[in-house]
Amino acid sequence: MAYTIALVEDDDLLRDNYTHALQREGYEVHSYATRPEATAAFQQDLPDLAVLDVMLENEMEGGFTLCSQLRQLSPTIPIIFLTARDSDLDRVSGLRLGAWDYLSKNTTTLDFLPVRISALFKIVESLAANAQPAAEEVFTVGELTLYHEQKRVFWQETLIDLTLTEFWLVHALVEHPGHVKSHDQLMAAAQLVVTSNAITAHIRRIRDKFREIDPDFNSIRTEYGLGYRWRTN
Amino acid sequence: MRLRASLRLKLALVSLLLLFIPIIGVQISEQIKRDLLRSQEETLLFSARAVATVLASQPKLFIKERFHPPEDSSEVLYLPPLTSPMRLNGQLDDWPDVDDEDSPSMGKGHILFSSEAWDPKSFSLRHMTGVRGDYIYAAFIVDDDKVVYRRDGDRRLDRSDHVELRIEDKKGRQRLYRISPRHPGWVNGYLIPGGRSSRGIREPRLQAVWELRRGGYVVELRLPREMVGTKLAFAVGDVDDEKKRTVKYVLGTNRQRKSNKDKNINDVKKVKRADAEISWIISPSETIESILKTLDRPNSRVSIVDANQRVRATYGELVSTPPPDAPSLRRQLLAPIYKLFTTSFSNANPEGPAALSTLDLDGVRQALAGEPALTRYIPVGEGEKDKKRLEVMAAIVPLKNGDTTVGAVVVEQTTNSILALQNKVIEESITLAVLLFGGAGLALIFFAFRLSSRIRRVGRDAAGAITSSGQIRSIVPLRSGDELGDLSRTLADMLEQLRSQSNFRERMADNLEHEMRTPLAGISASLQNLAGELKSLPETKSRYITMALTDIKRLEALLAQIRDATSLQEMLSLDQREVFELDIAIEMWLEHSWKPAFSGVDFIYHRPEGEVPFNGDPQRIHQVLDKLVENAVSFHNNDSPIELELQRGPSSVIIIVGNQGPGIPREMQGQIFNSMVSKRDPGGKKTGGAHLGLGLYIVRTIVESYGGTITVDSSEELSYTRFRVELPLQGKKGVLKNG
Repeated sequence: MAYTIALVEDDDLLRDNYTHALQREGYEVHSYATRPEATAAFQQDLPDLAVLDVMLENEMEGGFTLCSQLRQLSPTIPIIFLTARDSDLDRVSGLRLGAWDYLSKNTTTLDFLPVRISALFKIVESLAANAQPAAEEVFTVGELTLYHEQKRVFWQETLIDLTLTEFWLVHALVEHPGHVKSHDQLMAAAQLVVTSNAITAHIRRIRDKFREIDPDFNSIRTEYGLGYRWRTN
Repeated sequence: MRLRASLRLKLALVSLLLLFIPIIGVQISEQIKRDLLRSQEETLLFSARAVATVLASQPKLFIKERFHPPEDSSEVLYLPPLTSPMRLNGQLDDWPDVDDEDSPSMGKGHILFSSEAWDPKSFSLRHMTGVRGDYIYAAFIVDDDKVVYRRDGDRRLDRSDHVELRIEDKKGRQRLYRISPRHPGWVNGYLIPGGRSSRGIREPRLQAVWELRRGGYVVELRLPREMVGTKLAFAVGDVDDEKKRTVKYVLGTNRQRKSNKDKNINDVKKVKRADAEISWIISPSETIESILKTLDRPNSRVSIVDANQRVRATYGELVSTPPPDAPSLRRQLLAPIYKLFTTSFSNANPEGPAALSTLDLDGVRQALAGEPALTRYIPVGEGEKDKKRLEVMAAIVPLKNGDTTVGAVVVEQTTNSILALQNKVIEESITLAVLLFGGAGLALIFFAFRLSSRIRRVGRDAAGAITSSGQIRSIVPLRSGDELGDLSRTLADMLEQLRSQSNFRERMADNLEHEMRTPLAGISASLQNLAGELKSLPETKSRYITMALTDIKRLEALLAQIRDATSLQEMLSLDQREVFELDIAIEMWLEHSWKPAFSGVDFIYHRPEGEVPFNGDPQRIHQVLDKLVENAVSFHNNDSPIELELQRGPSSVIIIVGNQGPGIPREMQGQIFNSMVSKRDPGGKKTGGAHLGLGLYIVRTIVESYGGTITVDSSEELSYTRFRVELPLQGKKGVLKNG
């Protein structure tokens, strides 16, 4: 059975484009132009995954509202935000709405959206199986424990609520601890094409999330602006 | 260095012009003084004429007072008023002009009797006469080779050296008195009754003192005026032979008869004493003085001079001394300044009535010749006193009886009142000037300070309107309605317009980026869908789709550049600073970033000994140098190296990026750090990337956010360009967030 994806996007052309692209990937796509429309549909039937634009029509935060409505209906449904403004990324991360990932709407969106969707479905499947992760799926570096299949990260045995993109970045860093990962390498690992500034912003958010648990967190090192390195003690 | 004269200094200098006020005041006071002097002259002249007219209306007075000039001056005995109190003591220092050799001396013309040919060496004398109060005074300075005193018991008074007085008393009787002492000292006169009787009756009212002096003796005598009518004559008799005691010579003030005069002077026996006439006495006239009294003018002295230049009446005092004002604080403070400009004068009275010598003789002579005269003179001896001046102004008009000039009226006044007035004017103008200088000067200085502080405020506003990060702040304009307020308001308006324009530009860049992103994403998605649908598209056709996608990405990169520049300030505040070794970092960047990026370009890196730790966001510093290196590579001459230099200063690090190349035109050097300024050839596609002229603007913004400076040194002639970045070691936001 094909997964159903709800796509909420107010730009008609873009919505059509994304719908067709996702349909071609084999998903069943229900697209909505406005928040009321989507809300009504979600009351009837929940999708397996939702792709939400942050700004809907005149509602600057329509996507966020929709997200919290959806969370009430289902605590586990994966949600991906599409943002037009980079500054919205910070808010997505800060709002803790239970979004699983986010992408900015640009020319590379379609290159990476299907990858993320399939990755998220794999996580859902893995969680649903509720099986103990196999030993090779668990990766431990110092105080960090990383469950590859479920895309979960624990620091000092506390779950760090990372988005998919952030998980990929952390994974790329801890894969070879002590090795410098350049911006380009990190971008490739995170399935992204963004500017160096955006990578910096991601790293900053990751650090902030770790420091929320452990104010002394200091394992991600900047290497002279050329890249980042995971430092082990 | 050029001297910088601030506005307040200039205004302070301008306020010095106020110093002209006292100078003008002195000028004006001079003018006033001249005018006042002229009017005083006229007043005096008028007074003098009035006196002359009053006196001329009483012709009998002139006869009574014997104003008509006598044929011979020896007919009269002039008794001038004495100015100082007289003491009968044989000392003559209380007489005016005692040392004056011109005082009347008796010679040949005064011989009343002689027993042999007159020998001046044996006997001669000078005499002085005068009136003071109720007394007539006379003094004789006698040169006598042999002084003979009266013997005790000898009742005859003409058998020794003696003084004779012939008086016509008020009843018209002629009287003869003789003074003949037995020894030097106090002596009384004796009336010789019947004129010739040798025995005398003691007259206690006639008093004299007889004192010896070198070469003779001095007699000073006094008699009440009431003893004398209208005529008086003095004579001195000389006896040299103590045995025979015959009179050798008699010299007297009274005139010889004409007949005697013509005779041989040696024929002495024929001269009889009774033959000698008694002179009229001329002395200050009480009658005229009482008339003058009725014509009293304050602060002035009126004198009547007869044709022989004898003062015949005088009334009034030259100066009435006002009690000096208690000097006020102002006067005390300003006294030194006043002294510079004012003329000090004496307030002292010239004592007593006018003596002949105190009058201006030239003026009197001119008046006696019939011409009114106006003179000013400084009385003898007054000039030296305390360096103070007493100037007397005199109006002298002829006194006429009918057509004959019988004398002159002299009206005198000191110019003190005018000097006082002038000084007052000068003092007041100085006071005014000082007050004005103080007041207006302070006001001017205050004004200058206020003006310059306001100008500075406008200047500060203008200078601070654009912040170091390039943002435009609006200013609060001055509220005043003057030019400065206008300027300030214009400036505020300009800045407001500039700000709204700048805001518009920033917003536009942001909006443009945002609004274009969605359609670009749409186009890109459509192209990707198209490519997906047409999987079996021939290679040649799918290339077009790839090309379109590439172009779209370029367009997007361009938009990202604009967005990064406009949101840079915001991004900088999110920077994460850490201490890192700048020297190593540059080496790393050189090896891993620039050398791979610009293959075929030579780099030279000069680094100091030891490590250079720096607190900052390495990525930002990398961004700065990345841009500068890229810039240097863009403009370097082929085969010339790019030079990188790191220096460690005491409190800063300096990074220099230099290249040899065309150089930057001087007029552009100040602008290249502004946004949208590029000296790249607009059509050039050397690097293939998009150039909006944002690179150096971003560099400057980052450097300034680190509290540093960036400068460029470039020469077109010498073909080089060097960018110099100086960053303080202790950054403004030196919070160590990482590491």
